[in-house]
This record gives sequence, C-alpha cells and structure tokens, in this order.
Amino acid sequence: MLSGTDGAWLTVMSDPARRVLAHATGGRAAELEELQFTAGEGPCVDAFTSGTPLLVADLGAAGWQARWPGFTIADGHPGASAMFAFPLAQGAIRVGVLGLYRGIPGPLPPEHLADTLVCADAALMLMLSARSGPGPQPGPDGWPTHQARVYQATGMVSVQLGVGLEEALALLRAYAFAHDRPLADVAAEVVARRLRLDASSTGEPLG
Amino acid sequence: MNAGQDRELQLAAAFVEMADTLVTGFDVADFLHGLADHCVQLLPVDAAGLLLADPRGTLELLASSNEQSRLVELFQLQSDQGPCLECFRSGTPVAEPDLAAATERWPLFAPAASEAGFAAVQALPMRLRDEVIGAMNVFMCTPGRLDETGLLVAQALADIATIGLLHERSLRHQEVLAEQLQGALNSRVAIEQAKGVLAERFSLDMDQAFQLLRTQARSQNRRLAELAGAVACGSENLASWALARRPG
Repeated sequence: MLSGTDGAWLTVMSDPARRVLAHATGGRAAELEELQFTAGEGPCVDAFTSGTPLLVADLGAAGWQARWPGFTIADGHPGASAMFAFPLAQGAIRVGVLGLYRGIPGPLPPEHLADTLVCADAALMLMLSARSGPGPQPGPDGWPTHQARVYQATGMVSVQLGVGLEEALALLRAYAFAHDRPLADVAAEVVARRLRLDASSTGEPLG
Repeated sequence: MNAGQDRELQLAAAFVEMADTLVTGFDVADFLHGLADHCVQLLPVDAAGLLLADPRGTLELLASSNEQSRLVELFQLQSDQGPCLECFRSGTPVAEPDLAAATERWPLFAPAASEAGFAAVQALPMRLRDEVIGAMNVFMCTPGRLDETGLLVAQALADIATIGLLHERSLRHQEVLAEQLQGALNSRVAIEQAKGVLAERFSLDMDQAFQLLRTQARSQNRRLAELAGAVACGSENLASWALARRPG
C-alpha cells in the first residue's frame, strides 16, 4: 500500500455503465468505488472518460461539490476527504481506473504521485495482457514501450483487420511473442508497410 | 514594409494568438502544437519540438512541428541523452552548432540527428522561477547558432509555453500540472493511434495523417485530442472525411 493514502481500489470497465470492481483494499475503499458508479459521477468517472488523472486534495471544497452534486461527501458518508483517480488508459484504449483515498484532506505528495503512476502503468499492462484471451502471453519484452510506432501500428492494424484498438494491440503483441521479436520492431515493420497481420496473428510479410 | 517590420508583425501576431489561446478554451494539445508551429515560422529553424517531464522526471515529446516519424523519434531519443536532457537538468539553454562533430558529446543522439539531416540544435528551458518543467528544442539544417534576437524570441516562446501550462494559478497548481501533463501524454498516444488509423484508411504517411486530423479538428471546431480519441476508437465517421478530401 502506498503511504500517504488510506486505501485504494481498481475498477475494470469498458464504459462507466459496465464495470467490474477488480479489487479494493478494504470495505471503505469498496464503498467509495461503489458510490461513484451508483451516482454516475465522481473523480473516477471523470478520470476514466477524460483519460486524465484527477487529483482531489479536498472533496469538501465547494468547487468539487458543485461539479459532482450526486457524489457528495456529507455526514454519514464513508469518510474520505481526498481522492486521487488515475485512468488505466493507452490513448483511446480505456481499461479502467485506479483510485486512492485518504480520510484527511491534503495533496498527494509528488513521490507518491510518481509511484502511483508506475502502479497504474503496471496495472494497465496486466489488464491488457489478461484480456488478450487464450494463447501465448507476451512476457515483459512484449509489453508496449513508449514508442510512437507501437501506437501508430495499433491504429493501422485496427483498420486493416476491422477490430478495436485493444484487440489490435493484442494481435501485435501475440505476433511479436510468436516470432520472438521485440514489439517495437514488429510495429516498425507494420508502419513501414512491410508487414501486415492477419486475424490469426500469424501474419505474412509482404513482398 | 521592410523585413524587420514584417518580422515584428509576425511576432506580434504570434503572441496575440498565444495569449488568446490562454484566455479562451484552453486545450493543451492544440496550444503546444501551435507553439511548435510558431517556432518554425518565427525562427530560422527547420524543426521544433516541446518536451515535458512526467512526474518521474522522464522527458516526453508532447508536440512537434512536423510529424515525420524520423523527427518524432529524434525527439524521443532525447529522454536518455541529448541537449534537451541537459537543458532540463541544468535549467539553462544548451546549444550545439555542429552536430557532425558532436559524436563524443552525444554518441547516440548526434549521429541520429545528422542522419536526419540536421546540422545544429538548440534547447531552451521551459522554466518558471525554480521550476523546470521541460525543454523546447529547435533543429537547423545548417551549422551555426541562433543570433541574439533569435535566442530572445525562442526563449520568449518557451516562456509562453511554460506560462500556458502553469497558468492556473491556484492552490491546485501542482495537481493541475500533473493532471495536464498526464492528460497531454495520453492525448499524445491517442493522436498516434489516430494517425495510424488515418494513414491506413487514406493511404497517407504519418505527417499527412496528422495534418488531416488537425485540419478536421479546426473545420469541425473540435479539440484535437478529443477528435483523435474518436478517430482512434472508431466512433468518428471517416466516410464524410473522404468526401471532404476529394479534389475539385
């Protein structure tokens, strides 16, 4: 558990209306997660839809109350004064949200922010890997790196095969794993139009 | 009107446009791309990029004047080595007027930059008082340095970028900065995904794909990042784009 907060939860969803709570560190965390989705609004919902983190140091501040009238931290609600929501996203791919809370208000210290971002990245990678479906799972080398070509290739493959972005990414990673090549190299080949994947992800090189 | 007055007008127009962006409907992706464009228009440089540090201190490219893959990768290389990293760490400008001779200085970056056709580079800090949030990077195809005026203008543009990003002067300063950077990074990924979609759909290279995205964002009056997300996840009707692009 990251110090500086009292609890955390991880929500997996494809849109705010269809979600599965994956894990919470305790009853209070689960309650806070539940509250937002019952209300249909709150820091986690906003973070998920925008793809941008939302760091709320003091939920009781008037601005936040006005923004989320249905999600009020009033008397009787589980005590949470600070909430930090991190989307699990890779561009337009949205997997879920990582939420943290603290009983007393105050900002998330920078070093904890950095740690949380690392955790969110890891959670995202695990989720993407777990959702690829049956078949060989890429190892650490097969996880997307911060390379523009990987994202570009994802977009290209999604059009080529008529699939969503997440599936396109899974196919790229599966191909890389099956051919024992780094994902970045496979992506470069796709972007250069020297490689075109087919739906079974065996892929045939062109030319 | 002489060249000096012409440049003054250009400068004035650029600053007015930036100021306007800060005041009305601020979108980080649009703002930074606009700034990168202004660099190339106002300075004797051939490419410009804005790199910002994420909360872990890693420099990430947020906007480039040209989306050609080679240039983008050249910026991305600089998270490990190069003028931007030095500039970011020191908080002072860093210049290399002769990249061909700079292999010892930057063994990976200098040859890659030369290979991409660049002969000189300048990095300027994006800095407000004690806080350095990133670096602005310009490349030139001929060896040399920016003159005094060029350096002043370049630093002013970098300062505008910094102020634009830190402009929400409130108690939430740190939070807003962190949120903006992460949001901008994720928008950047969505833009790359959208470029891939458009490149495939319309048989374009990555730079053309980006220009198409940007043109559509303007003509539809939508935020670049939002449109990129829609294009990337397939919710945007691209058939109407094909019609718009038909010549005649």
